Amino acid sequence: MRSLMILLFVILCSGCAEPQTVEDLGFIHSVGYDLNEAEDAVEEGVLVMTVAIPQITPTAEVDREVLTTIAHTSKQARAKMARKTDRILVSGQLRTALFGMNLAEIGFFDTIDTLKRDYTIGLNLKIIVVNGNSKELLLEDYPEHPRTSRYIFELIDKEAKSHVAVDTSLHQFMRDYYDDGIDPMVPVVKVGINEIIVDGIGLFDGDRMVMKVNPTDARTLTMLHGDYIGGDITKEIKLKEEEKRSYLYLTFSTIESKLKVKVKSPDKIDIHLDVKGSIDEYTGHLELSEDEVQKEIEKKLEQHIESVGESLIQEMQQNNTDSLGIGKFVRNSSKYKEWQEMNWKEEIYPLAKINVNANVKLKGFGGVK
Amino acid sequence: MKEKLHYTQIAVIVYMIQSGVILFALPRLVAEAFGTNGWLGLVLTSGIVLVNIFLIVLVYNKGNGQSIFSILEASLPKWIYLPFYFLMVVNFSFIAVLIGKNYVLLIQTTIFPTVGANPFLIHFLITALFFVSKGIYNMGKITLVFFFLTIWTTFLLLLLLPEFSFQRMTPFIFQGASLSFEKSFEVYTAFVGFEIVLFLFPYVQNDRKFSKAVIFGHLFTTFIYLAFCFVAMGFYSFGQIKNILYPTQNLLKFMETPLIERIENIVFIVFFLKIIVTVAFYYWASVETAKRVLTKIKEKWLLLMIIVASFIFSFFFEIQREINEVLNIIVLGQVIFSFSFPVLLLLLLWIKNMKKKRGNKVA
Repeated sequence: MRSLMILLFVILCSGCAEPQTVEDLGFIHSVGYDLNEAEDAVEEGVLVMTVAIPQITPTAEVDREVLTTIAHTSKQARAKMARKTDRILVSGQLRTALFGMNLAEIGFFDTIDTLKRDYTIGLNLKIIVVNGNSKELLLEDYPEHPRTSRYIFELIDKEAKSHVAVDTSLHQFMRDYYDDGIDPMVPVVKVGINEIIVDGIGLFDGDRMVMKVNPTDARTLTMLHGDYIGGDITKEIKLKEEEKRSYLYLTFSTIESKLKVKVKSPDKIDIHLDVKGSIDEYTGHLELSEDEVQKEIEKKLEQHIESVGESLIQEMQQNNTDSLGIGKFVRNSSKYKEWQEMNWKEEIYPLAKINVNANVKLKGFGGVK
Repeated sequence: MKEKLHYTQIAVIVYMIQSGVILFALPRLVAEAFGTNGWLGLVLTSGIVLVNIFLIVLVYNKGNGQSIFSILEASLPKWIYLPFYFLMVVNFSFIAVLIGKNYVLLIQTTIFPTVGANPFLIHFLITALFFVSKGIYNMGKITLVFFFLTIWTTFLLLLLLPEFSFQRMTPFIFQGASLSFEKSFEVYTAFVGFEIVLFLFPYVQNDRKFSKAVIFGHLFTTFIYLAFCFVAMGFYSFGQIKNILYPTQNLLKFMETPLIERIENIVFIVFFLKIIVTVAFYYWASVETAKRVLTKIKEKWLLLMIIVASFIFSFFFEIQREINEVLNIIVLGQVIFSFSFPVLLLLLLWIKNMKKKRGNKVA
């Protein structure tokens, strides 16, 4: 009897929780933030927020519901948007956060605050910059990809594997933001005709995006960032013995790259790359099985990687972004006091002499001679 | 043969009492207290605790395993030890209830924001009530079971290895933090709980393995703490870790398994088993002490009274900040207690021995 009473008591107590029915909830899948550039922005709110929620009502014609509003902060915007929908908006299923270019350029650390403060939001949330406007990207219909949120998510996931883009989670962004030896980098996408296109990698100085790397140079950038496998480089090349042809292209793929950084002094740094890969496509006539040809191709590729790498680094130095994390190597090779006093990123990095040295090796050239 | 606590049980009990909610904040605490590579600071802190444990073991050996109460009562007048007992009862039960409430509030803010904290706490205390009422031997067995139900969470750390980097850890040791007593003390409190073994003396097998078991339990706690802090410091950048309230919880938030995402919710609930052990043993120590004075009241009712009284006390503290303020004061008392009490006991034993010797000589 007594245990029954206790059981009853416990059950009654647990009844106090507010029930949440799945049908009544609007799981926000993607959120987009833009800067409100209208004249009355200061009064109305500087943030344009757009959310996409998968539609579950069986009778609804479209697969998703998109809400947009203007507000001062993210949570205020959520409250405003809640007035437009019959479902309770929750952020536990949030997978992608998109930032419009105008916001990314002035910095979005304040906006990200809510994402890390909210316990319900996971750390694997993808941070993506939209070259253009995130509101337009979310409002646009993509007939072949009805669920936009899922589409962006999978697109970035896949492209990051081939290193055309990077896959930056909220955690990784915050980690590199707070680290004094590296700056964050995030994938950039843009709206195409009935599709979303990966548009390279955005490099940051603190929370401001200051530089964009083209998809064609992205693989070289990731080589300089760390050890990754996969991806390819396509290059127009001129080989000595090849007859004069104007259209000679080569694709070098499934690359394995190993990075070694040697800090001679804080302003003199050597980057050494060991790259291995195979040729996937070649539009010339020479026989690739010949050692001489292979060696020449290796050399051309080395020159290509070195020149692209160095020009990328120069551009990064001009824009004062150290997304490659060279600062980490400098930090770890100096004494704590020296590092604190040198103000490496602002003073030394922009003028530092950074050399790229590549060593390319061809593993194979496919099934033909 | 009378039932006794096995030494593996002792080791597990020590570990289970020590590790608790503080594990969620520990990587940040060590970063704030010791700076870069702060996990090394845990080794130092653990060493200080070892000294304390050594004192306790010494009491056990010198007193030939007799209970601390009989040591006290044999050489001190009643008017000295009675108020002391009272303080112990109050301190232990308050620690118990505040640890419980702290956990409940954590769960509330992170998982169930709409549920009231007090109904939650009532559930919690009912479980604790049943736990303690089973008697110390069964508590030992339950703790062992709970140990196996919770220890797997440590292996989740392996999921983080791809994100781990020695580079991020930096080669600097103990830089970027001002060594303050307050912060280091907070790290020290992560180890508090081992002093409960003082009360276990009459219930353990009387062999030399007791001291080994206590030390082993403590070293195991140190190892678990080290593992979490080490991984956290290679996972987060130094600036970031100081900015996150509960880095360990965030570690769990990052983990993804093919079947389960957001694994931290499961781990949080599983952690309940760890917290309940801590709370139950503090209540148990409280009852053990109260029993010495209020001999006429049945143990069951004594336990109920203590739990209800402490629950009412916890009513005054509604939010985490308030609880932490009180808990800091009470835990400071506890740390002083766990250092000075064994010293006092050793002193009493020594005096008693001296008297005995002198008596022998005179005779």
